[in-house]
Amino acid sequence: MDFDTTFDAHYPELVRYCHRLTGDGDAAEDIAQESFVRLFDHGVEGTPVGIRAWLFKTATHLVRDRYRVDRNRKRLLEENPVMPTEHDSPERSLERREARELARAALADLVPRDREILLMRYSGFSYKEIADAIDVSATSIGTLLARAERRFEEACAAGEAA
Amino acid sequence: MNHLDSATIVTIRDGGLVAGDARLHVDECPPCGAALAEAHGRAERIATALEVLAPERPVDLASAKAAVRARLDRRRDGGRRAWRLPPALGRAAALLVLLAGAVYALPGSPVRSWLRSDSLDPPTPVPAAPTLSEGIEVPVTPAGLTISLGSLGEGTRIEVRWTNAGSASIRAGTGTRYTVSTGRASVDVASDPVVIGIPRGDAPITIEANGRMMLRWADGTLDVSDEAVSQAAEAVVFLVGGA
Ligand SMILES: [Zn+2]
Repeated sequence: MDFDTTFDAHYPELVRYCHRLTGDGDAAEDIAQESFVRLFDHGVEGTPVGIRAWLFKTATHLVRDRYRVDRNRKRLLEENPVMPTEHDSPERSLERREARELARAALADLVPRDREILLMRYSGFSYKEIADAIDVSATSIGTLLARAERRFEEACAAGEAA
Repeated sequence: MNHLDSATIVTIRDGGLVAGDARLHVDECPPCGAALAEAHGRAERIATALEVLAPERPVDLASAKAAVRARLDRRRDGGRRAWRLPPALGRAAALLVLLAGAVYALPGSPVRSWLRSDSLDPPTPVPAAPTLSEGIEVPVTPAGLTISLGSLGEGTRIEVRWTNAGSASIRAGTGTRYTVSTGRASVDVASDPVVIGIPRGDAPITIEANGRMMLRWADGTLDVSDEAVSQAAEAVVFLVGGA
């Protein structure tokens, strides 16, 4: 397994996933890097699809470990500075910031397992891969995902109304 | 047959495995067809909502690779001398150290010599698997706390965060050894990242890295060494050099 190819293929996406899971940019990079360290240190072999699933599973567990203490979950709600991109108008940038805060707060409202299922599904993983990553049976993913989606939308709606 | 439940609708939407008659049903039943269309709409709304959640700064692939390579090198070098306790035993040992710390200050305490003898080492070395250890919580008394981090390799990442708790917390890679006495916690760091939580209270807190002052919190003032690479309201991150 080539270090550069594997890293380039999966690292940016893994950081993005961890960032959505934690709401913390520094923790996201740290956990994504630790996942790669373990991948190479353990000499994990597999197809690119299998490697990708392994990395996401490992990162999911590292996030769980780090945020196991309940009060740490509050960190999800903390503000990170939002840098407007250059081509955004002030209105557009405000809109994006509001959308971002809404989504982050809605994710933070979910229990960790709902958040993991939602984010893995919307990263394109199959029910079987999600089931393997979060240690539930594949047949229960439909039920858990439907519930996570409903709760996320309810949290978004509540945030919009507030 | 009855109408399909939301789990089956979502599974059909995502191309998952459902009974064949469920697929037939959704084609022929207008309410279930509408529920499937709604599930597709929901997926689009959620994908759009999540799309805006991206890291604020673009990923720097080159420095991320360098960081991973450095961690791998350190882990492989350190693997031979690092110890690994089974998780339950690790927790028990950490708790034991804490309890020992409470009586450490007593004159003539047998714990004192026991702690000094490093008898926490397991009898036989076991190859290290890299994980963040459970870490320890250290009570902070009004007299303050000094956290002394030792055995830090080049470029060790140390994150210090404020906590609302009345105690400090210290976590580092598996194999890290902790020794606690009144007002002092000594940490023999096996691998990074090191994550420390300290209360923003009246008690003074000092963190030393390889014998040098890295952070000091006293009288409402925070001083940090020039090894701090980022300082935000919630956390200060240090990259510490070699010995
Ligand atoms: Zn129906």
